[in-house]
Amino acid sequence: MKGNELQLLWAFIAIIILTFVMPFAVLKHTPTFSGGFTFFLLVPVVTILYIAIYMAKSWKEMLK
Amino acid sequence: MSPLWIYLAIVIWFVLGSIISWQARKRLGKGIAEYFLANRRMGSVIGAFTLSATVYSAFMMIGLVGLVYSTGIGAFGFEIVFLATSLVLLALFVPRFWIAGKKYGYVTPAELLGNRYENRAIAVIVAIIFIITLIPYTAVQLMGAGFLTETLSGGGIPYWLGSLILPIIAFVYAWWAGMRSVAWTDALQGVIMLIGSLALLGFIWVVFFPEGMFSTITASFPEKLKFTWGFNMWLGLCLPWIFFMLLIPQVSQRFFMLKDVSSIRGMIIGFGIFGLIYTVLVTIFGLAALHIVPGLKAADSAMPSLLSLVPTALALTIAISILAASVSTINSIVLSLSSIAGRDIVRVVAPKISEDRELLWGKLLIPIMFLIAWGFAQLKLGMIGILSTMSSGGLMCILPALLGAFLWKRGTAAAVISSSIPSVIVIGWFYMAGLKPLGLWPPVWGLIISTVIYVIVSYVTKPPKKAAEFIDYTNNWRANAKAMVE
Repeated sequence: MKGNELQLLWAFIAIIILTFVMPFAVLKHTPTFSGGFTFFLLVPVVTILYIAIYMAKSWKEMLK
Repeated sequence: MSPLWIYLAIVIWFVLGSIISWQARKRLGKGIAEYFLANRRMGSVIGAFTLSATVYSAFMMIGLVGLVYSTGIGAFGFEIVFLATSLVLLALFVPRFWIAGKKYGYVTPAELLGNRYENRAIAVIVAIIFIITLIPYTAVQLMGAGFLTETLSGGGIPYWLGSLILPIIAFVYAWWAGMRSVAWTDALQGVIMLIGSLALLGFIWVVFFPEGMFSTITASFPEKLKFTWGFNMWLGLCLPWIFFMLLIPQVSQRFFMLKDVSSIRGMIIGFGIFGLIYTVLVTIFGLAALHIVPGLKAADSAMPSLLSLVPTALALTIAISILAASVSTINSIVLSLSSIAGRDIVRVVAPKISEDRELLWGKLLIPIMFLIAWGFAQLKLGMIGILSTMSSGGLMCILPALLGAFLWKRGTAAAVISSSIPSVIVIGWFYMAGLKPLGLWPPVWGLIISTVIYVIVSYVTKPPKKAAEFIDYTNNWRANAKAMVE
C-alpha cells in the first residue's frame, strides 16, 4: 500500500471506530429520527463524497 | 390477490428481460472470458447496476424490512456499516483485482489465489468453500420468492412453485448468453428495484401517514428508533458484511470485467448512490410496517403483509421488484460458481482440457446448482437475515488469505490451506450447533482462528516466488494502468 492509499486505510478505521462506538455510547439514548437514523444516514453520504473526491484527485492520471 | 395477476406480471417481466438477454446473446463471442467476463469490457453504468443488483437481493425487501421491524434502527446501522466500509475497500482493492486480471488473465477469484500462492490445491479448496457457502445464500433468495408469492396470492401459488419460478428465469438469462446477458438484465432489475421502491414509498406516505411518517413513528414506536442491539450481535453480523464484497466470488469476479480505471470509478460511485437510496427506502418500509401492520409474529412477513394492503398494480410492481432483486443475485452466483467449477476444479483434475470443454463443464453445472439451491430452500430454515449472514460468515475463513495475497509477501500456500479448512469447519459447526463461546458469533471465531493459523504458518514456511512479483505489480497498479493506456 503506497502513499495516499494509506488515507483510505485510515478512513476505513475511522468508519469502524465511529460505527462501533457511537451506537453504544450515544444512540442507545436517542429515540428520535434525529438520533440513530440521521447518524447512520450521514455516514455513507460523507463516505461517498470522500471517495469521489479521493478518486478524482488520486486517480487523475489514469482517468484521462 | 388472484394468482393470475401474479403470473401475468411475471410473464411480462420475463419477456422484457428476455428481449435484453437476446440482444446480449447476439453479441456473444467465443471463449471463457467472453462468456463469464463479458470480454472484460464492462463500463461504468452497467458495472454499477450489475454490482448493485447482485449485492442487493431479496434479503433487503424481505429480510432487512423484517429485521428493522423486529429490532429497529440497529438493522439500518448494520446495513450502513456494510455500505460505508465496502466503498473504502472497493477503492482499495478493485484496482488490484482488475490489474491482476488484466495481467494474468484470471477468470475467477479462486484462480487468483491459487496462482498467487503457486498452489493449485488452494484454488480447489477455495472453489469448494465458495460452493458450500453460497448454496444457502442462493436458497435464501428462493425462500424470499416463495414466501412472497405464497402470501400475496393467499396461498394460490404454493411456496414450492413460487420458489421454483426464479431459478427458471435466472437459468434462461445466465445459460444462453453468459455474463453480458446477466449484467444487462441486472441493469433492468436495478431500475425496477428503485422504481418499485420509490412508488411504494410515495403510496404509503400519502395513504397511511396523513399526519407525517416520521412524527407518527416517533410518537408510536420510539423504542425502535433507539439502538438496542447488543455488542456481540452487532459485531457478529457486521464483521462478515464489512468484507462481504471482497469475499463473495460473484462480486469479486466483476472486478475482472471492468474496461478501464474510469469504469472502476463509475462502478464504485454508482454502487454507493444506489446502495444509499435503496437502504434508506428499505429501512423506512420496515419502520412504516410497524404502524401499518403491527403485531406480526413472523418479522419476515412484514413486507408481504404490507403489500396485501396496497392496490394490486402497485403490489405487483413491488413484488416484481423483489423478484428482480433475487434473480439478479442468483444468476450472478450460479454463473460465478459454474465458472469456478470449470476453471478451478475441472481444469485441475484434467489440466489438458480444451477451453470449449471447460466452458461446457461450467455450463452443465448451472442447472445442477439451481436444483440444489431449490432443494435447500424447501427446508425453510430460520430467519432469512440470519441465513444470509451465515453464508457470508462462512467465507471469513479465507479473509486472511485474500488480504495476504495482495498485501503480505510472507503469506504462504501452506498457511492458506491450514487456516481456511479448520476455520470454515468451526464456523459451520458453531452455526449448526448454535454455539457462541464467550458470546462471540461464529464468524468472529472463524476470523480469529484463520488469522492466527495463517500468520504462524506463514512465518514457519517459505513464501512462493510469485508473491513478491504479484504484490509489487498490483501495488503499482497506477503506473501499470497508465502504461496500459499509453
